[in-house]
Amino acid sequence: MPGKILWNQYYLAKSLSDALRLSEQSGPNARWIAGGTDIILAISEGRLPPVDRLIDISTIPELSQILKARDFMEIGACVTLTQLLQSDEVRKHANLLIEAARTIAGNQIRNQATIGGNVVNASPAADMIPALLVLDSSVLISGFQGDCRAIPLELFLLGNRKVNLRAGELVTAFHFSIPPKGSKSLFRKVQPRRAMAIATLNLAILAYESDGIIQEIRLAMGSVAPTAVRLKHLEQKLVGQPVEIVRQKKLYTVVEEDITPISDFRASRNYRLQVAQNLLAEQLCQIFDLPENVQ
Amino acid sequence: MLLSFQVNQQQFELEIRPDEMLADVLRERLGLKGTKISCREGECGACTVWLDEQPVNSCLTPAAKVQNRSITTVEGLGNVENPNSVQKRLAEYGASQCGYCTPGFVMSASALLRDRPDARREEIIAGLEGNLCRCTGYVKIIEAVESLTQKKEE
Repeated sequence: MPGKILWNQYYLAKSLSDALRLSEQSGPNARWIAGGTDIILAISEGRLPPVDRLIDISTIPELSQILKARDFMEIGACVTLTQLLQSDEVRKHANLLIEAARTIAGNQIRNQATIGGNVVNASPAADMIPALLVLDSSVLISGFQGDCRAIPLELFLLGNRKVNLRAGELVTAFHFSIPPKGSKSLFRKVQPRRAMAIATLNLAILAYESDGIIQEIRLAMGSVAPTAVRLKHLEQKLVGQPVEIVRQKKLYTVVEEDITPISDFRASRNYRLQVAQNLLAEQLCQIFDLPENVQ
Repeated sequence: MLLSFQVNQQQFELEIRPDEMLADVLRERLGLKGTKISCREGECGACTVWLDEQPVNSCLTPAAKVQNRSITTVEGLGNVENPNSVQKRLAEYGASQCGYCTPGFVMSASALLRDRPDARREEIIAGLEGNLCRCTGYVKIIEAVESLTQKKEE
């Protein structure tokens, strides 16, 4: 075991109130840990400073529930990716969360990693975030003294690995309205191999069409900006239009108004720009059952 | 701190550092060297053990996390005198060369076959995607695991 001390105390919180009380007592010297698959590495590799205490929230029952009400779902922050993959309710009402979770890492990681961890870690390449964005999710947060607040996910994400969380606050769940019957959704990840890879680019789509007109369209893309982003300019060009519009190649240049890809060791900026447009064209045609664009 | 947990159905109480990883506790404090450490990043699966029956990377699992939980290591699944079916079949098929990844594959494959006894080839490949092998090229590993699946009656 490497000699450097990573933390001095490890608490297993038994309940949400237990966790918040521990956090209040510990002050800035404590960090939350759920699955730990991101944070253990960040601490041991020096990307996060060592702390005095880790507060493990992974076995708190209230944080691992998947709740389906008539019009909405609430997914506990400590729901593991494997739990998501095995949930009938998620499959029926928000299947793109399963498509996203399936692309993350491998089985061992998914058995411990949590949806909350993926969001709060807030990598620009996070795979759960675009899916939660097109579901118009809110983030439910608890603080000391039982304070609760809810904030749209878009506003929760402040930048590369930066989120709107104050000292001692804990994300408890993600809340979203169940998409209308007949909605279609998908999630795609561009990656160099079929597993154990970070997204070069990822895309989530939620669409609702009737009478051949696009009634609702939500598009979110990751690895193309400091946070995953909704492609609002492209959405505006599509909504209210006949579905055939998605076959027009020149339509997709408008994504440059919403994405700011960089060149890094995974891909160049130009590659990401091209793939963003090509993937959108391909997947929008697919979701609306149209042959791929020719114009 | 005092860690109280079960390993291969045996109860242990150990004094550990709060920041020790499960892989190091199993190997160094319990002498269970079957679990290998390779990447220490959760990328290779050589350190795979079962936590309450689920495969996890023990290199990324703080030992303190498994308080009052149950761990199964490769030693708990079988040994040279009494190999389990996966260990036996991997050996028969020549699906092991240096052997370093093999315990991890045994853990993942045994869980896969337990939960999905009629797994098709694509499911086997997906079920093993958290385990890397640098020697064999995977073909014989997959064939060995596939040979243990039950075909559904069509």
